Amino acid sequence: MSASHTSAVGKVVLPGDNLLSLPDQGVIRVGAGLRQSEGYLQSIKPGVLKQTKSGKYWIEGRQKRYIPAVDDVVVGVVSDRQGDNFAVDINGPFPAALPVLAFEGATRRNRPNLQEGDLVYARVTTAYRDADPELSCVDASGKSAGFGPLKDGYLFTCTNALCRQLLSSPPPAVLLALGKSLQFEIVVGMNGRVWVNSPNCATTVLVSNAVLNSEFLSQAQAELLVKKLLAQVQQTQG
Amino acid sequence: MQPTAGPGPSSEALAKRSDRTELQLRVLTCERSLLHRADGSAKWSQGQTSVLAAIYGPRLTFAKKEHPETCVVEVLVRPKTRLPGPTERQTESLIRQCVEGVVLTAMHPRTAILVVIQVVQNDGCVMACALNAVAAALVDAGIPMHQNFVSVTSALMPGASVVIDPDLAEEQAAEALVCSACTTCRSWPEASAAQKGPAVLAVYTRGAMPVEDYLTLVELNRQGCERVAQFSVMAAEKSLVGKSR
Repeated sequence: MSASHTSAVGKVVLPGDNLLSLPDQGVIRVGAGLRQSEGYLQSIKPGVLKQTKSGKYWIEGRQKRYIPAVDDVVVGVVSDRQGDNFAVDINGPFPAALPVLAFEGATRRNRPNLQEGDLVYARVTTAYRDADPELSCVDASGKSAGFGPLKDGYLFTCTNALCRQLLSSPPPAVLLALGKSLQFEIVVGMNGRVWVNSPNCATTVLVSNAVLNSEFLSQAQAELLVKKLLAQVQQTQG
Repeated sequence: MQPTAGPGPSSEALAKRSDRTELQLRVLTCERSLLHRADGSAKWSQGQTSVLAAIYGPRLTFAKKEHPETCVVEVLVRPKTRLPGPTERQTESLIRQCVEGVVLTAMHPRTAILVVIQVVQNDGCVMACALNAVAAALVDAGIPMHQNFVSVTSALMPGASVVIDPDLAEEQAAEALVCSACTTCRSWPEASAAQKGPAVLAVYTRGAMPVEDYLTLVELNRQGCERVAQFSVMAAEKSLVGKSR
């Protein structure tokens, strides 16, 4: 199947657009933001229609509200402890449940000590529209794999479009440029939350500002932005 | 001379259009994502009339209000001054029905979408302007929809003439008003067979008029909606294309 199967690929589509008539034979793989309607492929969300090389379609939009999906990584805020679960706010329609045993090395005796307001980096294990989503801080083999509570640091919110950019591979220019001259940790959740930590506050502020302002910048512009910010910080410190 | 708002049906003389023809719409403008805390927002202006709409959700609601199978739509209309009254309640109910008609409510059961509408400036056609603002805000919020809608008002003036998109003076001088919301349907070349014209989603009338005139106004609105839809698509594309690389 050719990459440009439909003329709408790579274009901005709006909710309710009929994108292509479904063929009588063959398989069309459909991802987020699309549905079948009376023999046509219809978009239900605004965004840019994308297609993988294998022919799967999906819509890449931008929205602030997070709708949980299985295997997404999220940054959550613990809001409550209910028996064997932590209730975690992940910026979605419902609070997510994080079982106390879904941490590396956690047992009935040795429970993780999380308080209200603590941050956790977790992945979504179940996400049904009718039920509250569930999170886990371990991978399939029971190892933490980087998930777990986030200590200290600074949290800010952005749109899911920027989160996708930050999580893409290769990493975006702004992160590469920052990483060359600064030492910091960054955690990006698909739910529009980004956590930054570094040895000093000035670096944390610089990184968060650079990331927040990089959303609509090209590679060269992002590098220039980081250069300018670094020069400013050095000037005030020196 | 700038016509001022007249006291009522007696101000016929003021209702003469000076700056445009009877079938000409006012200048449309649309701004998106202006509110920081809302999930989606848009400001829609038609000439001097301007309305701000904000969408919150889908999010949790009170157990009393939630529905086990669908998403509940709540609408709040705030006038420019004073407290909301029966007129606002009526607008709220019309807008709620329009939104429920286009949003895929089964996608997010047990949740609610809150639509807040603030009238910023009233120079006629507030209801149509509010509907357009809500439609733009729904797109900005990324709420799943199977259609979108646009809205236009036209008026039957004394002497059986008709005008589209009346301003406040014309609206007060008019014998009858028809505001209709039409669905928009866009089809890409690969699905051109699905192309349909705008279908009427909701109609609101004020005043008494013969059936023939009513049908004329509905048809006029339908044609106006086609033009507004073109603008709304253009504005939405512009807001999305610059942001996703």
